[in-house]
Amino acid sequence: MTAQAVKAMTWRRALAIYPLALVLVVFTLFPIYWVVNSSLKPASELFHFPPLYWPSQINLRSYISAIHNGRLASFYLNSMIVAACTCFATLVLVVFAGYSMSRFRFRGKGVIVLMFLTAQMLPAVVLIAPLFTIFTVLHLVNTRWVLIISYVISSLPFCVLMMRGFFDSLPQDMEEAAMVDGSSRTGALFRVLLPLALPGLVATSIFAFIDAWNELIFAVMFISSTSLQTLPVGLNLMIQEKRTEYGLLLALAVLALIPSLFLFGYIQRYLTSGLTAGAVKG
Amino acid sequence: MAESMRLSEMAGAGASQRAAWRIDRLYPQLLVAPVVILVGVGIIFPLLYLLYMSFHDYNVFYRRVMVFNGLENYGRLLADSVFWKALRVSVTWVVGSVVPQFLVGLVMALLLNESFPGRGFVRTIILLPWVVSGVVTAILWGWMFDGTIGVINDLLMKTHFITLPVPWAARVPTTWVMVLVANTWRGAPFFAIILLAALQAISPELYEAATVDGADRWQRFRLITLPMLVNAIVLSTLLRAIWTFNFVDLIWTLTHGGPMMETQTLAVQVLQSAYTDGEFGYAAALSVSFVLILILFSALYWRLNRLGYQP
Repeated sequence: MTAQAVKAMTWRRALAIYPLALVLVVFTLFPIYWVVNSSLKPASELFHFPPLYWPSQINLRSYISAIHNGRLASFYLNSMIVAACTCFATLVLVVFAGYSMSRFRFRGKGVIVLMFLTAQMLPAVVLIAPLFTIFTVLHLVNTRWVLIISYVISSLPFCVLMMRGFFDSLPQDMEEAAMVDGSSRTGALFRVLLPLALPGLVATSIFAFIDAWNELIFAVMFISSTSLQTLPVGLNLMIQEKRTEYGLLLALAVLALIPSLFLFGYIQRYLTSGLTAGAVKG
Repeated sequence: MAESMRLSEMAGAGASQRAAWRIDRLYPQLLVAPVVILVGVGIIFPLLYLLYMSFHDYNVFYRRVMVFNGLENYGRLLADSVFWKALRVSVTWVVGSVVPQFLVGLVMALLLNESFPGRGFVRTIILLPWVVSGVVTAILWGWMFDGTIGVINDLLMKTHFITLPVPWAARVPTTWVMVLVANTWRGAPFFAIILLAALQAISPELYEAATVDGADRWQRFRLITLPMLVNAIVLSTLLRAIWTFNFVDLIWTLTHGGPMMETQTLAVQVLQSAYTDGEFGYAAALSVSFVLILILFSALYWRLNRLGYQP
C-alpha cells in the first residue's frame, strides 16, 4: 500500500470532499438513527404519522420489556453461545492452517486456495436440504452443535486466507532466530509468532463471530425448538407474527446490532489495510 | 527440504532422526489437513448427496422416505413457470443490486483515497453496513419504507416529491425500489473496500508525471485510474454478482418473495421449496440447476482472474 502524500487542504478540495462525505455518512447512519429513535418512543408516538424525529420523552419501556422477555433473552443467549463457540473453534483450526500456508511451500497449496475461494461461492440455501438429512441421521438436528459445526465449516475458507495474510505480513527472522537458538518449529510458532500475530488472531475470530451472529438460513432450517432459536431467526419470526409489537421488535433489532457495531470498531482498520482485500467475503 | 533437514539435525541424532524426518516432510500438509478435510467433506459430500436427492421424490412433511423418480423433478422444473420467473427475478435482483452498489462503492473508495482531516471517522462510519445482518437490514429499511407510517414517505412528502404516502410493499416496482435500496446500503462497503485497496496500489508518481505532462483531473482519472482499476472492477463485480445471486436473508425477511412472488429469486424459491414446502427432492433439483449456473459464472471468474492484469 503506497502512502498517500498529505495534500494541502484547499477550499476547492474541501468543497469536493466534505459535502460528499456528509451525504455518505448520513445515508449510512440514517437507518440506524431512525430505528434507535423509534425504539425510544412511547407506544402512543410510535405509530404517529408524520413521525417525530426525536422522541418527546426518552422511553426505555421497549428495552426493559425486551430484556425481561424470556423468549427474546433466549434468542440473544443462543446466538451468543453459538457465535462464541464458532469463533473459538474456527480460530484454533485456522491458526495452524494459516501458518502452514504462509511459511511453507508445498504441493497443492494453489489447489487449496482454489477450493476455498470456490467454497465461498456456494450459497447456504443449496446445502440445506442434504445437510438437514445428514444431520438428522447424525442426531444433531435441533441442537446448538449443528449450527456450530455448520458455521465453523462456512468460516474456515475465509479465515484461513485471512490468517495466512496476517502471517505473511510478519517477517520470518524472529522465528528463524528462535530456531537457531534451539527451539523447535512448533515452539517458535507458539512463543514467537503467535504473540506478534495476536491482533490478527483477534480480528479473524471476530469475523467468524459476526458471521455466526448474523446467519439466518442454517439457523432457520436446522433448529425447530423455540428454546434454541438464535437471534436472526427470532427477529424474522417477530416480523411475521407480532405486527403490533413494533417497539419490541425495533428494540431487539438495536440490541442485535450492538455487538456487531462494537466488534466492527475493532476490525474496521483491517478492512482497509489490504489484508482482507484478498479474501473478502460479503 | 532444507528446513526439514535443519529440524532433524536439531532434534538430535540416532533412531529418532528417521522418524522425525518423516513427520517433518509432511508437517505443512498435516497442519492444513484438518481444515481441508472439514471443508472438503462439508461441501463435496452434501453436494453429491444433493445430486442423488434430486432424482427422488422426497417430501419431509408427508413421507420421510425417498422414492426414486428419475428425471421427474427436472421435468417439473423445466415446466414450472415459477422457476423461469425466479430466474428473471434473479437477474433483476443481481443487476439492480450490483450496479448501484458498485457506483456508490466507487464513490466511497475515491473519497477515502483522498487524505483529509476526519477521514478515519468517515471511513469507520461508511463501512459499517458491512457487519449488519440481512435480517436487521430488512428490519431497518422495512420500517423506514413502511407504507403508512414510514419516514421515507414523510421525507418525500415534506420535500414535495409526492403528495400522498406510497404503499411501498404493495406494488411491484416500489417493492423493488425498497429492496434494492436496502441491498445497496448493505453492499456498497464491499466495493468500497476492494476498490480502495486497488486505488491505493496505484503509484502516486504516475499521477505526478501526468500532471507534469499537463493532464487535468478528468484525464488523469480516465487514463490512469480507470485502466489500473479494470482488473479489480471486473473481478469484484463478478464475485459480488455471485454473492448477490446467492443472498436470501434480505428478501426473505423483507418481502418473503412477494408481492405475488415478484421478488422471488431462484435462491428464495429453493428456500421456499425446502423449508416451507418440505419438498426436498424438488428443492434438490432446483439447487442443482442453481449450482450449474454458479459453475458457469465461477468459471468465468477464474478465467478472468487468470487473464487479469496485475498492476
